[in-house]
Amino acid sequence: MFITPLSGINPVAEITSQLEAVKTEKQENSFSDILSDLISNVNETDMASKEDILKIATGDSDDLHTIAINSEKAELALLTLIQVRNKVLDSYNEIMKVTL
Amino acid sequence: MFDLDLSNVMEKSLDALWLRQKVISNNIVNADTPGYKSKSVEFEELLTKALNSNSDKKVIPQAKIVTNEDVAVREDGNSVDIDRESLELYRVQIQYEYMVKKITDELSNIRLVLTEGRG
Amino acid sequence: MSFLSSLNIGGSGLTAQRFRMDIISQNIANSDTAETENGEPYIRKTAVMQERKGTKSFSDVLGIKGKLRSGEGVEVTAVEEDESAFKLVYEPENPAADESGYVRYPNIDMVKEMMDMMSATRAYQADITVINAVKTMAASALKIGK
Repeated sequence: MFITPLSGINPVAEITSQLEAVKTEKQENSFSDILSDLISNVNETDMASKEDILKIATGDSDDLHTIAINSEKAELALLTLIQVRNKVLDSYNEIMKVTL
Repeated sequence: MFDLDLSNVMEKSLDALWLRQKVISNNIVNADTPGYKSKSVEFEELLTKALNSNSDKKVIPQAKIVTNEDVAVREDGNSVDIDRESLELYRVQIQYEYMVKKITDELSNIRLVLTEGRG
Repeated sequence: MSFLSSLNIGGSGLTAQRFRMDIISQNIANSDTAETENGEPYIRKTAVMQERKGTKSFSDVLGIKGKLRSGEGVEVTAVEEDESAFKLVYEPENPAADESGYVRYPNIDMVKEMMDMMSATRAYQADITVINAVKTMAASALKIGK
C-alpha cells in the first residue's frame, strides 16, 4: 500500500491558482464592476452638466444643443442607476421573504 | 452605455449645422463687403464617405469651412449670392429642428426602457 | 464669447447697415450745400465695409474642443470721401459763385443715393432674418428631451 508523500502536492498554490482563473473569468462582467461603471458614468455626466451650467452663468455658451444633450444624458445616467438600485432592493426583499 | 455611435453622429451633425448657420449668417451680413468671398460648410458628403468606407473603425469627420468656387464674382470682388444664402439659411433651420426631434425621440426611447413605461 | 454669440454676427450687420444709412441720409440732406464751414462744398461720403475680425485669443484660434470658427460679421471701418468732381452750376448772382459765375455743388446724385438707401434697407432686413434664424434654432435646441 502506498502512501503518497505529501511533498508532491501543494494544495494552497493549486487552490489560489484556481481562484485566480475564476476571478479573471468573472472580471469582465461581475456585477460590482457593472455597478461601479454605472456610478462613474453618473459622475461624469453630472460633472459635464455642472460645467455647462457654469458656462451658461458666465455667458460662455453658444451651441445650446450640447448643453441640452449633456443634461439629458446626466439625467438618464442617474435614472439608470436608480432603476438598478430598485431592482437590487427588490431581489433582496424577495430573497429575505424566503423563510428558512 | 447608450448607443454611442448614433448619438455621436447626431451630436456632431448638430455641431456642423450650428457652424453652417454661423457661416451663412456671415455671408449674408457681408453681402456688400468688397472682396468678400462666400463660404459654406461641408459635412454631409464627408459623413457619407466615412460611413461607406471599408475600415472597421469609422470615424465621424470634422465639419469643414470651404470657400465657394461655383459662384459669380461681382465687380467689387464680392461673391455672395443673397438668394442662395437665404435659401440655405432656411434649409439649415429645418435640418436642425429635424435633428433635434430625432435626438429627442432617441432619448425618449431610452427613458421609456428605463422606466418600463411606468413613468 | 457671450451667450449665443452667434447673434453678434447678425447684430454687426444691423449696426453696419444703420451706419451706412446714416451716411446716405447725410448725403441726401446736404445735396445742395454749396458751402460748409471751410468754404468748400459738401463732399459726398461713403461707408467702407469690411469683414469683422475680432481679437482672437489663442484658444479661439485653435477652437475650443477643436471647433472651427466662422467669421465675426461685418463692420464699417472707414468713411471715405468721394473724389469725383463737384457739379458746376451757372449762378452769377449767388455770393458763392467764382469769377466765371459758377457755383460748385456737392457731387451727389439723388437717384444713386436713393438706390443705395434701398440697398441698405434690404440688407438690414436680410440681417434681421439672420437673427431670427438663430433665435429659432436656439429655441429648437432647448426642446431637446422635452
